[in-house]
Amino acid sequence: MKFIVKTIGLKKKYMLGEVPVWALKGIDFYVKEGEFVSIIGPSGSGKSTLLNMIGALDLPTAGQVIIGGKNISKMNNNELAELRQRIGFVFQFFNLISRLTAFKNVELSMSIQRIPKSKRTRKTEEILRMVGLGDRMYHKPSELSGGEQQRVAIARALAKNPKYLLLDEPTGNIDTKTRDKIMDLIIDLNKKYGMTIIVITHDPEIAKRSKRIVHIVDGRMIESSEEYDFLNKDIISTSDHKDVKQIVKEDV
Amino acid sequence: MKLVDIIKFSGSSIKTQKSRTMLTVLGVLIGIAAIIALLSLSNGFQVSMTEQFETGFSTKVVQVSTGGVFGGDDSDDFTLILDDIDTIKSIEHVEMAVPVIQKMVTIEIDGEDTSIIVYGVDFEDYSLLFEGFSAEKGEIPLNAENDEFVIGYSIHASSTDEIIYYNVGDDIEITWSTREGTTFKEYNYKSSVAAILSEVGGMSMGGGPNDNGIYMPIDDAMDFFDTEEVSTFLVLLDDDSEEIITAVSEDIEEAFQDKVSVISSTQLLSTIGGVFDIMEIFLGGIAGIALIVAGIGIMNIMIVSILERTREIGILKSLGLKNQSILSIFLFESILIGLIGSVLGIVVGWIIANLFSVILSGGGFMTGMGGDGGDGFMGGISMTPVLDLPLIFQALFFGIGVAVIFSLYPAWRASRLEPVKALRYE
Ligand SMILES: Nc1ncnc2c1ncn2[C@@H]1O[C@H](COP(=O)(O)OP(=O)(O)OP(=O)(O)O)[C@@H](O)[C@H]1O
Ligand SMILES: [Mg+2]
Repeated sequence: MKFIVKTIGLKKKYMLGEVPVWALKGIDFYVKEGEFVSIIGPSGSGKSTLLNMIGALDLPTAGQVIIGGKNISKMNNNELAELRQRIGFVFQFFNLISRLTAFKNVELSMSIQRIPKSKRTRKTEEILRMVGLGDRMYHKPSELSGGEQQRVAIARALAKNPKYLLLDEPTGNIDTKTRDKIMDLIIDLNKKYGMTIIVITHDPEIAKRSKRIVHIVDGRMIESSEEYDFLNKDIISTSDHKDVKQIVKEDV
Repeated sequence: MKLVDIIKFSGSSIKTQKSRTMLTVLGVLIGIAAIIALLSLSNGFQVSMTEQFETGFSTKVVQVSTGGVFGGDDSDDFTLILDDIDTIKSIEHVEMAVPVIQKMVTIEIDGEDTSIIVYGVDFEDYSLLFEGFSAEKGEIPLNAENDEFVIGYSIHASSTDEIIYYNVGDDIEITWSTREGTTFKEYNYKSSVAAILSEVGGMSMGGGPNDNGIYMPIDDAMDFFDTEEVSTFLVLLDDDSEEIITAVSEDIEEAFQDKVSVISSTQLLSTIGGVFDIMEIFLGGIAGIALIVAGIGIMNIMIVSILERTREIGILKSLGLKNQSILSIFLFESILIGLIGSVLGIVVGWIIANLFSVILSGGGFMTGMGGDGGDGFMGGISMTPVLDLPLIFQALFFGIGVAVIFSLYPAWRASRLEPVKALRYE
């Protein structure tokens, strides 16, 4: 099976004024096609930082992020933009454009990909119906509930026809009932359509429903759950990331 | 992103931010309106003057006087006298020399004392020089015994023809005040109107007929003003080529020991053209400053707008929009604003120019600007603003150009935002 995205010795430093903060301290991480991976860990441990990097929204300070076999640090702005066009991103705070309707928000993904108008319209309607918003297409975000807004965000990510879907605490701002529905939708995407999914969550219930759980603490990856482990090891820790490096190299 | 989609996206953001858009549009509008108003008026002025020039003058005529183009340099007490005519006539290429006496007098117009200029000329000779010296009403008396007046159209009636001041057959009394010792003395002279000149329009230059003038036979003028002094000789040449004009001019100046100046109509045209060029640059400069101020306003608003929309830029980037496209979105917003502002500015400027022109010409009777002893070139000013295609394009070009130039930097900054930082922006 192919790695759809992986990181090698990934480090990320932020500057807090004069003080360097290492948000990631060397992460070796991989996701394969069709996987459903949860990332859990305490607040401030570096989960979002990792997700941004595998979503090509940010570049590493050291180490590598490899997407589709290419090191993103070696790409120019245009190549990065084109790459982002094919990565689905769903944020905790929805990040919809407030002046545009649900329909326009979703369509925007495809406008950016220069997909012709007629095809865009058809696909937008199709996807919005799929996420259960067939009757809310022409509402603006302010006229939608949190759950509905998050569905729009998911629809917008799906409209890209993404290689994989990244979700950063997608249910963080949604009540429990709606949360389950959103999770059902996400799991469905993985099961029915084989969509590769990486989701950050604080919610153990959600994490349990995924096939693999990656644990990040203080900028380091400390464990990965057994079920779908490529090396048949229960734990991939930083101390043993040599083996991972081995695998990663084979694919480069 | 395709161009259509970029434009639609820009349009949607302009529509949402109505009050901000309106303010920015207003900035462009004011600058463009200023340009249009100033330049269309100056255009109109120039057009009416050129027209006037073409009907009211002859290229074969040069003017000999003691003053400069726009009136007297009286530091020298040298004066021309009637007998100088022989000197001038003896010069090669000179066909005819017509002496003109010019005096500032007052007459009653619509119940008010008004200063005007009286020209003492030989009617027959003068009409040979200028075709414009022809009667609309009455007949220009060409016999030597005549002592009647010929008057310009503005002395006859108001600009709208509503009020008739003097008609053929009416008497006009002119009052000339002059200094004798330490006191002023007033002399009156009364005669009837024999003819009214057809309207010349605009202003009079080069010694040609003038809507605001009163013409009387030169002998009567010399008697009344009690003088042998001649203000100007209008000299008809047998050729209007530049070499001949220059040669004759030099000969005349030489004959009077450089105490006179000789002005040809062509020379006058270029002098006045030069004045207009300067005026246009000056007016254009004022309008330009207005536009720059508008531009700084646009830049300011764009910077604020981009700050406010940082998150949106982050979203667009996370969706994979390229830097150039983000730049284009913001530039198109400016182009749209510049376009709306310019179009409205052209309309508003045009309205202002017309209002202004109505106020100017509605001011009724305007007296000539030339003084007694000077040359009295300029008569009343009437101008209809002229808005031509080049001016419209210029205005659009500047309006949109300023909007684009001043938003380049903010737009460029927006396009360079890092996606993660932009998304985190509160
Ligand atoms: N742009 C930034 N500038 C400075 N420090 C940052 C920046 N982004 C993240 N950090 C720091 O990096 C560390 C990791 O942040 P990150 O957002 O990845 O955590 P997280 O695991 O997603 O936390 P949470 O669960 O609260 O979302 C934190 O200490 C955070 O303060
Ligand atoms: Mg986070």
